[in-house]
Amino acid sequence: MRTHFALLLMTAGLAACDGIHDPSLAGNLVPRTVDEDPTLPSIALAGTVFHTEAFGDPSKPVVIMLHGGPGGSYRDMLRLNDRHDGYALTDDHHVIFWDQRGSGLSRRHDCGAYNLEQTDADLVALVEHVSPGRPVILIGHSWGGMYASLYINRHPDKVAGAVLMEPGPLNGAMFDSIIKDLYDLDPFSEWLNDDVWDGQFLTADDHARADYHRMLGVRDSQPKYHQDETDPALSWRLGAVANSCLIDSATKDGKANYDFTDHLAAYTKPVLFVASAKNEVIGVAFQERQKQFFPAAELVTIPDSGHDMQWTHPAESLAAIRSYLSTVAP
Amino acid sequence: MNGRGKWIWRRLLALAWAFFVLIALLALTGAAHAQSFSRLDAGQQTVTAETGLQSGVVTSVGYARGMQLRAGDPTSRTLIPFAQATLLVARPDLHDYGLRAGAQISVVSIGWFDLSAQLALGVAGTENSIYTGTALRTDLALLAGHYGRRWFAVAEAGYDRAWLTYIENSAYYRAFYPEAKDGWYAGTGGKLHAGAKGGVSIGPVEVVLRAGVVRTETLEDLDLPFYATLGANYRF
Repeated sequence: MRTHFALLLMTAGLAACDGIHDPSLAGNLVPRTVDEDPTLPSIALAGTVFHTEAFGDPSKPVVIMLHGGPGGSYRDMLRLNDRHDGYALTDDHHVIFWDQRGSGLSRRHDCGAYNLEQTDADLVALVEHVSPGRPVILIGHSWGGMYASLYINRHPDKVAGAVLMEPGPLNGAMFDSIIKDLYDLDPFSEWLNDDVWDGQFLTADDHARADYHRMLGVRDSQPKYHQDETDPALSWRLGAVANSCLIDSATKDGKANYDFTDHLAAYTKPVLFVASAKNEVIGVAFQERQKQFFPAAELVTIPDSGHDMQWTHPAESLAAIRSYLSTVAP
Repeated sequence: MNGRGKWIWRRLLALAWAFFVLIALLALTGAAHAQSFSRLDAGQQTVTAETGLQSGVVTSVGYARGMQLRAGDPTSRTLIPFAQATLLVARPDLHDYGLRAGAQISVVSIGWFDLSAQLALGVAGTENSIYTGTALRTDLALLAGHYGRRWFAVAEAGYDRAWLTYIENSAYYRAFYPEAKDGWYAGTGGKLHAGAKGGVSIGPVEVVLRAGVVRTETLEDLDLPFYATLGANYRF
């Protein structure tokens, strides 16, 4: 009798809920990608479908935004597209925002689709599509700054200028110099235990659950980056597989095995580095070292900002970008 | 395993080694009459305490007792009902917990070899930066090995699954995705594990070490791909 009553209560309780959801179905825990929502703006290139938006006059010089991650989204760069102090990037440029392969709201792939060669091929295809025969300007934040360097290193003639906003390590040696400070890995830290305890509830057996789980470390895992907790830099959706598999493809035996700098000495055009004042890991001192890879690089610091400066300090960031762009030949 | 997972793994591996060293030292202190949690005789009871790495830095307490499967029939097999409560101890709070209750029984016993099965029903809770969750879970495990007078060693393999999980997305996560749905979710996670468990007895106290590897039910990596716990049981 008691058993029947308990079952009845459980059934009634479940029925009172708005159905039972599928954690693997996009739209429940995470937003739909371009494959699940055809109303999203997208472009099919390089064997995938990218979530993308373009702003401004297509006849003007092209700026391509490169978001962080890998596996982030362009959402946290959109404030750079707003008008600040009477100026907007679209006054003089055609601005392209896109979610990289397997990131944001772009199409998801299995792990084998992510490597540095494919990453390069994606941007080659995008540049050719949005600015055929004409060099572009790249603005990259964090991993996006690394991505820009990778591309310049391989295709210097296709890049008219670049803004590298606190890029991560541009080669393996730079990576090794900061690896211990990248994450708070105190075994007793709350975020780390929450992250692994999550395995009692959700396991990353498909993209939706993997991407949702990936959100767990966003707020607290990198305290030395001093990102804003009250106004967090937003993403559409993280790409967990893109993140882990691209990183894995660039490492060997646990060591970073990439170099985006070996041909940068030949790139003599001006490059702007932007660093945040507060970042203790890849902030001003680190970027002072990184800008040495470029023959003509300058560094601007955004006061009172953390790694998410493009989100928390868009006006100051845009002012630095505007000043730099005035020196870039169209 | 992803990059972050590897860093986590290396850091936590150091803690696991500490547990291995500790159990080795304990084993060297000698042993008395052995009776594991897994092989309680009818009428025996034990309280258990366990700590280590298992989906986090956890501490558990539990209780088990041996009962005749058929009351009054001393030839019948012994059923061992048990209950266990677990808390994350990194920053102790009552939001991150696990409760499970079940039973273990010997399935096959030939000479020195014993195969036992363990099934538990459980509920687990969590509160993290993106959601608050409550999961209704099952744990199924098989234990094969030998139980001696002073020690035991078994291989274990198991499958645990969150069949139904209530998820309430946090305000922080809703800033990212306002349309995230709160409610019950079916089949949110499952894990397979394989490892070993061994122990020695010192009087009524038994010291037990468990360690093994864990994957998702589709063999995907987890951020913490192993478990290692040290336990102490008091039999009475």
